[in-house]
Amino acid sequence: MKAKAVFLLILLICVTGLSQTLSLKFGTPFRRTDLDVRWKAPSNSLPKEVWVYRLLPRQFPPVAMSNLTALGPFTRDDLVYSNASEMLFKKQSDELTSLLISSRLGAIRLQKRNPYGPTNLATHIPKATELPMLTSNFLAEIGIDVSEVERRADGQPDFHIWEPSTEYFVNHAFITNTEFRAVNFRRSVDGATWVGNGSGGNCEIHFGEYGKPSGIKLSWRNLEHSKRYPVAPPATIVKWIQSGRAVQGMTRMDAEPIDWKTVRSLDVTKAELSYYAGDPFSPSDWLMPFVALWTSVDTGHSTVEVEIHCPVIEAH
Amino acid sequence: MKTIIKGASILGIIGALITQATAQNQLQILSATPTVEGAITLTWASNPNEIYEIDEADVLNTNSDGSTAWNTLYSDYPSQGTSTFWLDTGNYFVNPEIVHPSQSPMRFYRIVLTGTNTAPTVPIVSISSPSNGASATGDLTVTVIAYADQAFLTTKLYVDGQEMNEPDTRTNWADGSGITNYVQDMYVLNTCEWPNGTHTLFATASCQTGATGAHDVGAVGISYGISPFVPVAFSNLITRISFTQPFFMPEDGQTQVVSAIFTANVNWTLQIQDDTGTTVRTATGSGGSMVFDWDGTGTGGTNLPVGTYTYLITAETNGLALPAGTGGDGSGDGRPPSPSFAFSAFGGDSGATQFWVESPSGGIVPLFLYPPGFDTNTLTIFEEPVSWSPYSSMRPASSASFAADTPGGTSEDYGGAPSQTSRAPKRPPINPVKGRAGVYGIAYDTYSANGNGFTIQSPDNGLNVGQRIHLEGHSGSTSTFRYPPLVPYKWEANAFIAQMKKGNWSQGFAKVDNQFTINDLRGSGTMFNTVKLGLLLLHGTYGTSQDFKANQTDQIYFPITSGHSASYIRASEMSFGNSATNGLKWMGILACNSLQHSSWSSMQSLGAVPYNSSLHLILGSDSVIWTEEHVASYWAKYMIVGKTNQTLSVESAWYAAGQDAYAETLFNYTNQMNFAASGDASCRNDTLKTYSNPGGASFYNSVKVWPLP
Repeated sequence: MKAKAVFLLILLICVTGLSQTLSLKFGTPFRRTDLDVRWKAPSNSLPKEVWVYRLLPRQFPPVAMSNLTALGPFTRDDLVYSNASEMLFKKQSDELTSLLISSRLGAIRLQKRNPYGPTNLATHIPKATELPMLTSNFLAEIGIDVSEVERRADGQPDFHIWEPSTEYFVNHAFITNTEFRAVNFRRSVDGATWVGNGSGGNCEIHFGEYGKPSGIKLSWRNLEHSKRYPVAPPATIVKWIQSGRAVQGMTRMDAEPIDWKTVRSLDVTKAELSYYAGDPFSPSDWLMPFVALWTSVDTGHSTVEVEIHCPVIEAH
Repeated sequence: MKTIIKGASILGIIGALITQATAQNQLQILSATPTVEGAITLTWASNPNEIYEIDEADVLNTNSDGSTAWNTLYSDYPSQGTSTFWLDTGNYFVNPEIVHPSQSPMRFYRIVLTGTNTAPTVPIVSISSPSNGASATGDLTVTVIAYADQAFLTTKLYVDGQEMNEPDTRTNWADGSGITNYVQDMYVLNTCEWPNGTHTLFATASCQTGATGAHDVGAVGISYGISPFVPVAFSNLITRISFTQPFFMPEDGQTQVVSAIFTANVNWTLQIQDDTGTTVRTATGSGGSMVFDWDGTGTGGTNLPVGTYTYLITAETNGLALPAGTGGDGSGDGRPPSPSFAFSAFGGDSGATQFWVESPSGGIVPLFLYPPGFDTNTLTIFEEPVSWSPYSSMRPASSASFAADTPGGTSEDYGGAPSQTSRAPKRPPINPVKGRAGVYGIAYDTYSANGNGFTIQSPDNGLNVGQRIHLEGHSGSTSTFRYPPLVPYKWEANAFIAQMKKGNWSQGFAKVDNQFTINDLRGSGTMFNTVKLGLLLLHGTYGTSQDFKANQTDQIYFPITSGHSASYIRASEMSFGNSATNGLKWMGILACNSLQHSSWSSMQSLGAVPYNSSLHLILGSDSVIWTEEHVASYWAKYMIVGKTNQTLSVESAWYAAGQDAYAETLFNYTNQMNFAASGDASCRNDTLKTYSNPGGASFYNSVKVWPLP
C-alpha cells in the first residue's frame, strides 16, 4: 500500500507538469533490489546516445493542400471554418464527405460518402502490390519522407496492406465488392518504433478507384531536437530494474502471474529502443525514449515471457 | 435503514435486518437531510469494501403479495468507510424517470447491500486539484487521478454525494499486457450551479480483473476505491442556477424555467444561445434572483430547431440592497450531513411516527424510511399504511425547524468581483437540449441472477429427434455453454442513454434483465419496432449445423434470461424494422457473433434473417467481442455529433466506436474483434438526420475494430 502511495505521488508529479522527464506510465511497477537480472541481449542493441524530441505542428505544402481538397472535391464554399491551425471542409450537399487538415495535430482526416451498391461496384481499385508505390507518392506529396516510415527487416517500409469486402445479396446471389485497398504504417524515429496511435506517428490511407485516396487518417507532427542524452549502459538499466524504475509489460493472458518477491531470475534477451508521445486522447508535446526489454522470468514454477519497459536516459 | 439481498421477501428482509442490526449495531441510517435545493442526503452506517444500491418507492405495498416494488435510484455505490452518504437528485436515465425528490410528493428509501469488492486489489484514487480547503469561482476543473494493477480503470466524480457527468477529458496509460493502470480525468464544473459555501468533492474508481463478454470464461472481480473528501468553498455572485426540466420538450407542452439566486442586488441578462454561440433569446432584469420561463421560441416567437441551447447569465451589482427574502445563499458545510429530522407523532390509526423534512427554500420534502420499526439513532422508522392518503393530507410537524433564507442586504457569502458571467447547465441531470430528435429504445441482459451465470443446452435442431444444433463448431452434445454475468452492460447502457439524451433523443424504453422477455424480441410486434433506433446488449453464439426450424439455415442465437433460467432465441425469430415515420430504422446488437459472417450468409441466402424490408441497418459483430463501457456511448456520440467535427454515418459510427472504445482500454484482448453491418444497401450512408428509403438489396460488411495495426 505504501509503495502504491509513493507511486501515486510519482504519477501525480508526472501528470502535473514534469512532462520532460520520462515517465513510464504504461506498465505495472515492481521493485526488488536483490533481483537476479542477467543481461543476455546483444551489447550493441542500444545506441550510445538518444534524442528527446519536442513535437511541433506540421504545415502541409500548399500543393498538398490543393491536391487534398481536390479529392472531395471541395471548394471554397465547402470550407466550414479555417484558422491558423486547422481547416475543415464539408460538402454542403453531403455532410459525410469532409476533410480536416490540422497543422496543430499534424493531422489529415479525409472521409467520403460510400458511393457503392449492388449495381454500382467499385472499379479500378489498385492491386495490393501497387500500394507501396502509391503510398510513397502520397507521402512525398504531403511533404513526408518515406524514410520516416518504420522498416521491415529487409529494409523496406513496413506497410500493412489490407482490404475490406462488402457482400451484396441480390436475387439469391452474393456479389462481392472491394471498395478500396488500404495501408497502415507507423513512424520510426532514429530507428526506434513510435508506440501508440494518434500522437503523431501513424497513418492509414484507403486507396479507391484509380488509386485515389478515398479515406485518410494521418497523424504526423514535426520533430524538433530538444536534448541529447547518453543511453544508460546495461548495468545501469539492470540497477534501474532492481530499484523499481521499470514497469512490467506484456505477458500472455494465460501465463502464470509473476510474484516478484519469489522470482528466481530475470533474463534480458532483447533490448529495443522505442519512443512514446501519449495516446490519441491525450497526445504529449514531447517524444520520449525508453527501452523495451524482451525478458524471460524464472518464477520457480515456470518461465514467463514478459516485456519490460524501462527508462533509458537519466533526464534532468 | 438497511439492506439487503434483492429478491427476498420484504418480511424476511425486515426480520433479518433487525436481527443483524441489533447484534452488531451497524447498518443504521445515520441521517437524512434535505439540501437547500430539496435534494435529500442519505447517510448510513457502513463497512469498508461494501457496495450498495439505493432504492426508492413512491408507495409501499404495491405488489399483490403486500411487498413493495422498489425502483433502483442508484447502484454500484462504494462504501466510504464506517458511514456512507449519497445525494438523491433523482434518476432520469430509467424509464419511467425517477424525478428529483423536490418534485416528488412522497418517497420511501431502502439501502441494499449488493456485494463487496471482488477484485484482489482496490484502486487508489484521489483528487489532485483543487486542493483541500480551496475556494472556487465560476468554472472549476477537477482533476482525478487513479491507479490500479487491474484492468478497465474508470473514475466518477461526486459533489456532495451527487455523481457528475463523465469527465471532459480522459487520459489512460496502460502496460503492455493490456492492463490500464493509470487514469487522469478532468471534470469541469460550473460552481454557479450550487449554493455558495463549502461542498464536499470526492471521487470513486473501479477496476476489473479482466474482460467479460465471451461464454465459458471465468468470473470477473470488480473493486471500487474512494478518494479522500476534498472540501471546496464555492463563492459566486451568481448561484444556484437551476432548471425545471432535465430534457426540455416544448412539443410536450413543457417550458424551461431558468432561475438563479444572486448574492447581491444585480442587473442581470440572460442570453439563450444555440450550439454556434448565436443568441436566440434575451431577457434582462434586476434584483436578488432571476426567473425566466422559456417556451422554446426565439426572439419574437420565432421557431427554433431541435438542438443544444445553453444559458449565458451575466450579472453586475447595482449598489442596491437585496430585496428581503432573496439571495444570500450559503448552505454547504463540507461535511457529510448530520441528523436533522423534523418529526412528530402521527395521529392516524397506526400510531406510527411520520417524518417530514422541510427544505430551507420552502417546500416540504416528505421522507419515509424503511424498514418500519427500525431504530435509527433514537428515531423510529415507520411504515405508512396503504390506506393513507398521499401528500395532500400531510402537514409539516409543529416541531419542525426551518432554515430561513437570508434576509435583505448584501450577502456575507460572497466578496468577489462585482460582476460575473456564467454558462449553464453543466451539472447533471440537466442537459442543454431542446426538443426531440427521435426516440430510441435499449434493452440489455446482465445474466446476473445465477451468480456465475447461466448454462444452457444448445437449441433443438427442429427434427424433433433429440438432436441439437452444433454451436461454434462443437458437436450438439458439447455445445452446452455457460454464459457468465455481463455486469458492465449496465454501465455501457447508462453511458449510451446519457449520450442519446444529450443528443435530444427521447427514451422509448430502457429494459434490463427480467424487465423484458423473449417474447418482447419476437416478431414484428417487438418493442423495438416502436422506436426509431434500438440497441440490444446480450450474449450471442452461432450455429454450425442446420436449424430445421429456420429454413435449414446456420442460425445465430441469443440466450435470454427469465428469472433463474434462460433459453435461446433464434435471430430469425426477430423481425426488426417498421416503415412508420418514427418506426425502427437502425438496430444495434452488441453481442458475440451477432452478425457472424458464415451464419449470416446462410441466413440471407435462405431468407431467415432477423429484419424485414423496412429496416435500414442492423449493426453487430463478426467475432467474439468483449464488453467495454464506451462502445455504445461512442456510437451514439459519433452518430449525433460526429468525430473531429466530421459527420459519421450510422454504419461508420459503429465501426469507429468499436475501434476507439477498445483502443482506449489498452487491454490485451485474446482475440481479434470485428464489427459488422448488414441491412439495405441503399441505407449505408444513413445518418440520424438524413437517410434513404430501403431499396431492396441487402449487404453485409465486416470491419476489424481490434487490434488496429
